[in-house]
Amino acid sequence: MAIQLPVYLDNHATTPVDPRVLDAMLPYFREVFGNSASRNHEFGWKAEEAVEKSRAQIAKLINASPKEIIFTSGATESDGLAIRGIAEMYREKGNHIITQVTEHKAVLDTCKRLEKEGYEVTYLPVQKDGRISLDDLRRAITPKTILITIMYANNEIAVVQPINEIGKIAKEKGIFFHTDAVQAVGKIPVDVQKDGIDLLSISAHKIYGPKGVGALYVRRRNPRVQLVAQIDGGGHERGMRSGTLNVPGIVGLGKACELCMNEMAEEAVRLKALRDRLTKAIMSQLDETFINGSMEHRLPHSVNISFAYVEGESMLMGINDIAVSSGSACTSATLEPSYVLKALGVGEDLAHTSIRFGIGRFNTEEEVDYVVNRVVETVQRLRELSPLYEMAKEGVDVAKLNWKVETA
Amino acid sequence: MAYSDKVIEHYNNPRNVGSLDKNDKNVGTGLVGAPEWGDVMKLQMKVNPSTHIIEEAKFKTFGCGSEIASSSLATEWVKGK
Repeated sequence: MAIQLPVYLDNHATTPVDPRVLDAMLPYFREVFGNSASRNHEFGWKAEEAVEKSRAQIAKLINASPKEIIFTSGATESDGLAIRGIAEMYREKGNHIITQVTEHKAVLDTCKRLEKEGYEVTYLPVQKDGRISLDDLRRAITPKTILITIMYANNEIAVVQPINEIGKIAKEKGIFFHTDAVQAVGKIPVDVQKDGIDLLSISAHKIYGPKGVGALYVRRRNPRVQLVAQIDGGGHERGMRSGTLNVPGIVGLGKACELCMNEMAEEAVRLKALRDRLTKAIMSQLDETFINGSMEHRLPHSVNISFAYVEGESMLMGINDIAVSSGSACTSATLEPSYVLKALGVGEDLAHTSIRFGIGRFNTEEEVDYVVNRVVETVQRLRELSPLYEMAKEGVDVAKLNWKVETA
Repeated sequence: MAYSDKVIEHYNNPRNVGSLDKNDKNVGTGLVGAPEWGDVMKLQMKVNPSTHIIEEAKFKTFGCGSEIASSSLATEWVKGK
C-alpha cells in the first residue's frame, strides 16, 4: 500500500482534525449559528444546547460534573486562568506556588510573571527518568503554599508524573492541585476524583479537535475552588471567563472527547504497538542511541530518542519527508537546546541529537516502517560525515575532551 | 525552513567527506567547536611541500544543515590555493 508523503509523526505539536469531529462542527458554522448566550430565541437555545452537550462529553472523559467545565481559547489560556486565578483569589492565604522544571512554557512563564508580582515559586527538579521526587515535593511545602501545578504528561518526552500520589499529598496539606493534562487526556485514563485533582487544562487540537479552543476543569465540591477571572466582560462561564463562546469549536472539542472516551483503550494498544515497533527497529539497527525519559511511566504512543554524534537539525533535513521535532538548538527560536532534556541531565551534546516521535490515530504500520528505514539510513549517512563518530570509533571519549584546548 | 538550493545540494551531496592521514607531515588538521554547542568541524588539508599549494582537503562536520553545507563548500574553495 503506497503511503502518502510527507508522513506526520509530530502529534505532540498538534493533531489532524478527525473527520467525525469536523462533521459535528459544520452545522454550527451554517444553520445553527446562534450565540449561546442569546436567551430569548431558538438560535440561542440551540447553540446553548450544543454547548451543554459538549460540557457533558468532556466531563465524562475525566469523571467530573458538567458544571465544572469552563471553556477557553486553549490550554495556554486554561493554564494561565488556573494559576493566576488561584494566585489572585487566595493571596491573603499565601503567596507560594510549587511547580517543576519541565512544565510547558504556558505554566513556567505564568509563574515567572507572578514572581515579578511578589509571589514565590519553587521549581522542583526532575530525576533522570523525568519524574519529580515526592520527597522533594513534601519538603517544598510551606504554610504559605496555595497551589501545586504539575503536568500530567510531558509534551517533549511523554513521561507521566506520579499524579495520584501528588493529589494525595495536596489533599493532605489542603493545597489546590492543578494539572496541565493536555498530552494525557484522551490518551490514558484521567480521573479527577481518583487522582485528587482540583483544576485541569485540556486542549482540543491535541486530541483530533480544532485549534483555538480548550477547557479548564474547576472543582466545585470537596473542596470548592474559586478563581479570579482573567478576562472581564459579561460574566460568562459562571463569571470565570467572559466572552462569547466559540460554539463550533466547543462542539468539536466535545465530539473529540467523546471519540476518545469510546476508542481510547483500543487505540492505546494499537499505538503502543506501533511505537514499540519503531523503537525496537531503530535501536536494533543503530548503535549509540538512547531513549530520553522513563519507558515505564510514559504515554503509549510516543518516544524521544537521542542519536549520538548526529545533530538534530541536520537529521530533520535528511528526513525532510517526515514531520517530527528535535531538541536541537537549531530548531528552536532561541538557539537553546531543549530545557526539558537538560533538566533530565541529558548532556547538551545529546540534547542536540534528540528526535521526538509522536504517533497518532491516523498513522499506519507502513508509515512506521518507512520512517524507520529513512531514519536509519540518514543517521548512518550523517555519522559518515561526523568527526565525533569517527573519534568515538577510534576509542576517544568525546565527552571527556577539553574542547576549548582543541580549538586553541 | 528556507535553505537555498545551493545549501541543500551541498547537504545532500557533500564534497570531500572523509579523512586524510593525520600523521602525514604534509597534512594539517583543525578541529573547532564543541558538542555541547551542536557544532564541531574537522578540516584537513594536504599541502604540497614544494609548491605550497593545497592539493587535497577533507572535512567531517557534526552540525546543522547549513554547517555541513558550508564545510563542504570550504573544502572546494581551498583546493588549489
